[in-house]
Amino acid sequence: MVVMSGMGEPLLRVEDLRTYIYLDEGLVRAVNGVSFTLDRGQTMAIVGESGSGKSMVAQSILRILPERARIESGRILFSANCGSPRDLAALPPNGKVMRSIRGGAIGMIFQEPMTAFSPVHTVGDQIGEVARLHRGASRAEARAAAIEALRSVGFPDPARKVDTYPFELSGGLRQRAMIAMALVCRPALLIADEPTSALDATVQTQILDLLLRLQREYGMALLIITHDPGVVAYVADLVTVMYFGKVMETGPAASLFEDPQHPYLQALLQATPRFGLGPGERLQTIPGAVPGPFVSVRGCPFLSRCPEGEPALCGSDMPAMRPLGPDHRVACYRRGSVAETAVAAAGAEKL
Amino acid sequence: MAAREDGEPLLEVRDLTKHFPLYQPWLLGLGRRQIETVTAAEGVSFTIHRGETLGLVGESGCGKTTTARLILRVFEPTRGEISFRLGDTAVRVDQIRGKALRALRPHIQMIFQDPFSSLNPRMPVGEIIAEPLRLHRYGTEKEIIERVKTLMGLVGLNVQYLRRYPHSFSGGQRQRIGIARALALNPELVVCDEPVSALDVSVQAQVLNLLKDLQRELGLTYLFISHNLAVVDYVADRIAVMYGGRIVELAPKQQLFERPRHPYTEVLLASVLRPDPRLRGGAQSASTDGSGLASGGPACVFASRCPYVIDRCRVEAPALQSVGPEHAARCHRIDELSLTPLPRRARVAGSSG
Repeated sequence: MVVMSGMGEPLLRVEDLRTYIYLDEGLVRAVNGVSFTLDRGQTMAIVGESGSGKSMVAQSILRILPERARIESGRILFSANCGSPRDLAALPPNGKVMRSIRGGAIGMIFQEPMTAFSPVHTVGDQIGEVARLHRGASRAEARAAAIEALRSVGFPDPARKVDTYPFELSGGLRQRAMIAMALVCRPALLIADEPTSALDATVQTQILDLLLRLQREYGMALLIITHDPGVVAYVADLVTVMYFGKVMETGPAASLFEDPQHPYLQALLQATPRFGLGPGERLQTIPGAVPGPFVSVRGCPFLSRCPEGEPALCGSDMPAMRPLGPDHRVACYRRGSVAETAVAAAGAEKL
Repeated sequence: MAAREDGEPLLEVRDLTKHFPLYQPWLLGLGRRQIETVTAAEGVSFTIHRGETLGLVGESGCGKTTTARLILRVFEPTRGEISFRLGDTAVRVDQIRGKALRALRPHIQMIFQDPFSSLNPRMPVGEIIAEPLRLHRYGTEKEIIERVKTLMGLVGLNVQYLRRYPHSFSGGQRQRIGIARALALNPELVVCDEPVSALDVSVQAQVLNLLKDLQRELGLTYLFISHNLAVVDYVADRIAVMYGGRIVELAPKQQLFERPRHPYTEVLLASVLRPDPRLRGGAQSASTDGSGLASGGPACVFASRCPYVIDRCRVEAPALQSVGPEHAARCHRIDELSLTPLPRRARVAGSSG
């Protein structure tokens, strides 16, 4: 069940988040003014290509940014227990509160389960550690919790597999073990950064089905970071499209795929290899490439590749998000006239 | 140059087999002993015709890359024949060595998956592309530089970047460098091993279109390896599906998608995720987990995962049998099963209005 928006505070509200990376070569504005909200039980996909900043959003929320990266400004409001929201961006990243939220109310799974696990501890020890740290479970309780968690993610013979090491497992099972570890504390939000990108296609659907089943059972919200439009279409209720650290378009998955508005999203979907092309029909390509990481772009970052862009219109300021429908917004000067914008905004307010 | 006729067999592979021995340290690490044999490819047979693209699909560990490397003679085959049409004669790639093998190399080239690790970071782009030309004594220094410039133009690289190093290029541009290097010696067969898997979606289309254009302009023949069925559908004419080191089905792409004849192909088609939320639920999980890695024994390689398995499958490996023109599959129940094709889509996603 999707909780209606407007019923109190959403689970997660990210407001104008900016995360910069300070490198010797220069400043990288990895996340440059990103805002979105996620309600309890919802699934949002953040989709973008490499360098779009999508993973940095996840790492900012979890406060596990690399050493040289820093949240510059913005708020990450998280309200786990229907209490008053807490600004994760203002907490010390390794403080007591953040450590209890990370792995507790917010679970996380990563792309490469081989590097995310310690190679020298058994799967069971690592899953059980979560229960010991967050719930103060005893050794025996932790082991029981690990077995139970492995069972819930469909591990065959969990009582025996609890004593295996990560390298003994296949990629699919390793990812299941990681999901088990993330879910020990029944998080309200699960963040999954490219959870299936390292897996074979047949295993990928198994893992995504598992995530969707567990989400329904536990009523958690799911934030999936991915570059794959196929994964987005399969799992997401809501989609946020990022490009060069900025949100280009956000809205319900059905609207975004059936009627994409931003020229970038339109071009991206046209460029995606897909079935059913007629003989001789070609994929449309997006000319050029993403601006380099150290480039500072004043206007719309897609301008140099945009078929509809005009330097005079789009080159000086990033367009604000314009509402197209209740939940559908796009950052493009060429979309949503002023009148439409006002009407849509009024409609949104009524809801 | 010999008359090139489209459609004549260019590469014929028969019963190609590769076993890798697995060793374990022995006598306190002073020696080693063989403990097991991994069957990376077993009885692989196919023909590639001049000017066509044969797609090779399957999950990791199924033997796609091993097959490619056997054809390039990176690995020595355990058994089997590889025969390549060179002019009017058929060269037995698996048997030649030394000078004859060296003379064959220009005709079969490879494009690699990872555009980062496949280019020497200490070599400027011009040198990377010139290297095969120098190795095969293409001509004078001036001729080589001219050829490098032509190649860079051909793949859409700015000739001014001749002296730049790989690190200053994006993934897509690096893949273009790799393509230019592969094309330097005018090959007839190009083995493309996951050439776009490491690239962003917006760049994939550029590289795929480039490969298609080059094929048309230069009359190239491709063996195109990918795990992405949509990509293979875009570039290939026929598709070979590999599982556990064996080709389990081989068919023209349309037939493979519309009338799959092997249970593994069905599983593969069902697991395709398409950028269209209306097809949600169309994708189905395979019932069991498997690695696609080959195992020994007389059973069908897919028996342990197959939803249609019967007793016979566990004791006897099926042979590749023909089920129509150009369509073959390796299954005992080929005539009884009616398998689910790739779901048709209502319309192409993303085509607004």
